[in-house]
Amino acid sequence: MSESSNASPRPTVTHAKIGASLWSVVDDFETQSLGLHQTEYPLEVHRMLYRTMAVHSVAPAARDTRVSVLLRADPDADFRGYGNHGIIVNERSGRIRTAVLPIQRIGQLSQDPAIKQMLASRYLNVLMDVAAAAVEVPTFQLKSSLRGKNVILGIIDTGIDFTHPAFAGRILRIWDQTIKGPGVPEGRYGLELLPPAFGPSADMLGHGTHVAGIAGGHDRSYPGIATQAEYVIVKTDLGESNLINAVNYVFRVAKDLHRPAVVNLSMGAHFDPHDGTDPLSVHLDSQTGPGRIVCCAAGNEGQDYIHAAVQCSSGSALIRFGVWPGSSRGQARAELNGWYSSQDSFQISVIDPTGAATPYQAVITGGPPARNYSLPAGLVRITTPGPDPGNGDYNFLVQVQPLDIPEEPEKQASWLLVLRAAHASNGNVDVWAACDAAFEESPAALEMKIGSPGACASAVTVAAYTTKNQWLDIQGHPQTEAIALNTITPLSSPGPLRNRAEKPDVTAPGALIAAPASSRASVDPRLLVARGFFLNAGTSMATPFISGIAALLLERDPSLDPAGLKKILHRAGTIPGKPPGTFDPQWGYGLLNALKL
Amino acid sequence: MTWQKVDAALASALGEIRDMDVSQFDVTIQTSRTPGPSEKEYLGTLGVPTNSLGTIFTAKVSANDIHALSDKPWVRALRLARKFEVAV
Repeated sequence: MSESSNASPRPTVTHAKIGASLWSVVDDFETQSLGLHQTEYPLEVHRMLYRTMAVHSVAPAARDTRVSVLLRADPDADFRGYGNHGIIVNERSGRIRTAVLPIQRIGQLSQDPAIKQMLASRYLNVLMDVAAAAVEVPTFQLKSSLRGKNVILGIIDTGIDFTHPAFAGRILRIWDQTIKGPGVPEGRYGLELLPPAFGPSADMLGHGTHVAGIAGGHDRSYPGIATQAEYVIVKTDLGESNLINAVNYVFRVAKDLHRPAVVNLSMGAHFDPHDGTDPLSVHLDSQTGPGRIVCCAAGNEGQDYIHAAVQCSSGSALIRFGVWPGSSRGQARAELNGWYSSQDSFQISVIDPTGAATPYQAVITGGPPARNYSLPAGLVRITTPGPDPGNGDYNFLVQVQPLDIPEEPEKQASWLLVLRAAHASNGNVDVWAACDAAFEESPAALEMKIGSPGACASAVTVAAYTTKNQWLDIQGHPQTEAIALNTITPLSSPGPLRNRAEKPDVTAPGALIAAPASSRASVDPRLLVARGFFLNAGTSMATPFISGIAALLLERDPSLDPAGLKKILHRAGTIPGKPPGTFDPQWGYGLLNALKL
Repeated sequence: MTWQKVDAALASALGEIRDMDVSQFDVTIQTSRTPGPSEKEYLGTLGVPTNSLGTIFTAKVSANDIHALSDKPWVRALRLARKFEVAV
């Protein structure tokens, strides 16, 4: 066991062991050259001013300020004896150790023969910090002192790891819709859990924990945005009815507690008309208002061929599509969701890979509008009802259940959707591959891929931006992701909506973001960056970033409504190469700059 | 049955049923206006949460319930509730 010794007030440093960055810190503290002796600044200021070293805690005397260091040491050396001197070496063995100690004790530790080198612990690969700093959030927080106090973050998702320290003491409620129980007034199913009895609920997928952490997790290395907001969590199976009930629940709890709330919905689908008239979007519009904000993901289909658009005023248009296996819904059943103006009338047919075709099916209004067809390659159901009650347009569904789907993509054959114009003055038809299907490159359209609930008019819909594509995993191995830095993340779904309404609203960091990991979910080791934290990417990550920002702004003005929030966010957005206030279907009103909030 | 109030997905699902009385359809019910007391009472018999606000309601209903709802003048639309996916 290494012996500790009494240290003189000034560090007696073994120079050869001190790395240059640590030596400069010692010198700075000694000479008081950077003002770090001014302990009236909060700790965050010291961390910002002294980015080369992790300042752990500030003391009245600068030399007593505690800092984090890295040690190269004999792997079996025991440093526990230094605890009486305020030197805490975290690991009991290993060549690389971490320690927290007063500045004045650096010299003492350096004298230990088992210590080979001492280095400053820097803020490296802290991706949430990188993301937040990229959009000036730390500076905004410093200047405004906003932390989301008295605001509720309503995370409707896969649950939360309530044991994670990032959320300690801040979860007000969990409504777990997935376990048996008497439910809540908004839905008589599931179990409502109050602190501290959250035990029956768990986030087995990890998505909700990560999202909640980005929005407001409290951690020194990977802080969220609204670190003093409190959580109302709904664990859901993502069924539309359950989502509607979940939103009702969060806003009702917020009302009971007399607090403003932000609901975060990092999810999407393509079963809807992509114009905000679907039931979830309509309901969200009726529930948002002063102090009630909803933030939604734009979606991750930016690179997927899930939207086909044709213009057919006469004759026929053909749309080639493929059906793929491996659906999470069980047996593959591709679904195409088509929409066109009520001014027009189209007849629908499907041709299978053998060349066999269904009859043309026109709009059916007098009775059940669905017809089944058996083709050599599989079963086809075509549904062609009258005008949709939501928006008055025509909606048709084509559902295909192939008899056989080869695993190899090159062997998967094409099907054809045929649209024959009965009469068409408008002629525009949009079709979305709602599940287990994709269109071939042409006529796949690159725009209009934001579905419900991102299509909700009053929601703040968020696109994703890449702030990091390289990292060190928890083993210290360098990792990369092949995505371009400092631009829109390619997977981010573009707008506008089918009715040309402007969506998304804003862009925020969404790749690659480090945030809390659920202890109940498995994580790819490559993505683990620290114990309890992992990387993830998508508009799911960008959305809670904005939810957290919304919580900060609600602390400032609890009556802020969606229109007011959007005005602030639009003004704070920037699109590279475009003048302020420009809308872009990928960026919305641009990447958030928190200094403009 | 007023088919004009039923969306394509629900119409398609109705084509596959065997038992008209089993509550097997998760649906959203959109009303043309905020329901009055008798309308709310009727929705309550279908399991619609009692404190629901607005004009969008959720319920698990049977095919027969859908037929009956579609014929109510204050019901605007009946839609099949779908499953969403996380955006990651």
